[in-house]
Amino acid sequence: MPPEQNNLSDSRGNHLGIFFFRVMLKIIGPTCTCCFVWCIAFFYALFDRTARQAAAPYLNRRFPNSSRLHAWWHFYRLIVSQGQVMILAHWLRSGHQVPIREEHPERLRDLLLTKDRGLILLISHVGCWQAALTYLDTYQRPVNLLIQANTNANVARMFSGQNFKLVDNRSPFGGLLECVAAINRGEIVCIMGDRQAGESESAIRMPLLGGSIMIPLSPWLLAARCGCAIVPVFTLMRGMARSIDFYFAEPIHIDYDLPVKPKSSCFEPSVKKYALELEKIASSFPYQIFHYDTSSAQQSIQET
Amino acid sequence: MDDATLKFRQEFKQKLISWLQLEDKQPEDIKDDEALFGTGLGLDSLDAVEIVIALKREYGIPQNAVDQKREIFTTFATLSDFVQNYQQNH
Repeated sequence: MPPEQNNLSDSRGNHLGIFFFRVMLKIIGPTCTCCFVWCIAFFYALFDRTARQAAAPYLNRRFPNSSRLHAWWHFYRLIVSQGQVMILAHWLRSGHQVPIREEHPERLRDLLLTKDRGLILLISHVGCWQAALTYLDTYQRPVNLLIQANTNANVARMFSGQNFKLVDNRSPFGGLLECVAAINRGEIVCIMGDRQAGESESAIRMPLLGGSIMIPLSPWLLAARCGCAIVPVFTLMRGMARSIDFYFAEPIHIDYDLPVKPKSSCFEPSVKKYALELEKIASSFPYQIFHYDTSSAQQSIQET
Repeated sequence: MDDATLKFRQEFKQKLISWLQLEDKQPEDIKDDEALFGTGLGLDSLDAVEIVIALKREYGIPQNAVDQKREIFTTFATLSDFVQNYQQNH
C-alpha cells in the first residue's frame, strides 16, 4: 500500500472554512468569492510555515534569486491561486459551468473517434484538474480515475452519479489491473502523471526547472502494454474563476512489443515530452502548479 | 507433487525471470511458497501488469480469468498451478 503523499491542496481548509466559502459562493458567486480569497490567503502566507516549506523547493526553482520579499510575494500568489482553484472546483461540483476554451481538442477527439481502444489521459496537479473530468463527460466514453485514496472522498462527491469510476490505487496491484481492463474495453483512464504514489512506486527522474521530479512509470507501462496513447491535458484557470483553458498536448505513443518487461530507460524519451510540457506550463502559469516533488528537489539541490 | 507439475514449475520460473527481467535471479532462487509481491520475491504492481499481459500472450489466458482469481498472485506455486490447470482445462 503506498504511503499517502501530501500536496499543497490536501492540507488546505477546514470544515468551517469550507462551509464559509460555500455560503459565500451561493450568495456572491465565484468571482467575488475569489476576490475574498486574497484576504484569507494573506494570513496563510504570513503564518502557514508548513505550506511555505512545501512550496519552497518549487518556488526557489521557478523564481531563483528572488529577494525575501519577492519570495513571499510568489508564495502569496501561489496560495491565492490555489484557493481560487478550490473555489472553482466547488463551483463546478455544485453543477455550475464556466466558459471553456480548448486548445487542440482534436488531439483527444480524433483518438476517441478513430480508435476503439481506450486511452490514458495524463492529468497533473496543475490548475483546476478536476475540471478535466467534468469535460470528459461530453465524450460518451466511460472514464476511470486512478487516484490516491486520501482524495477519493472529495472526488467521489464531485463525480458521483456520472459516468465515472474511481479506481483506488490502494487496491491490490495499485489498481493497475483494473486500468488494463478498462483500456481494453475502450475506456478512458485518467492518471495523475506528476505524483509518485509513495516511494515504493516505480518512477523515473526527469529534469524540471533546473531540478528534477520523479515521474511515476505506471501510465507509461500501461500505454506500452495496452498499445494505447497517452494524452497529457492541462486545465488552467483564467481570471478569478471566470473561465478554464484546456490544453491538450500532443498524444504520446510508445512502441514496445518485446516479450519482456521494458526497462525504465525505454520510457525516457516519452516521459521527457511530458516533463517538457509540464515545464512549459510552469513557465507560463507559475502560480498554478500545485504539486512539486519536494524530496527529490531538495535532493537535487544537494547534488548540485 | 508429480513430475509434470515439477517440470512445469521449473519452466515457469524460467519464464517469469525472463518476462520480468529478474537478472539477478536463478530459477532455484524462487521458492514455491514464497510471496510474489511485497516481501518475498519483491515484485510490484508493474510486474503484475507484465504477468497478466504475458499470461495472455503465452498461454491465451484472458485477463478476466485472472481478475476473478486474484489469490493466484499470492505465491509462485499458486500462480504456476493456476496456469497449469488453465492449460489442462482449455
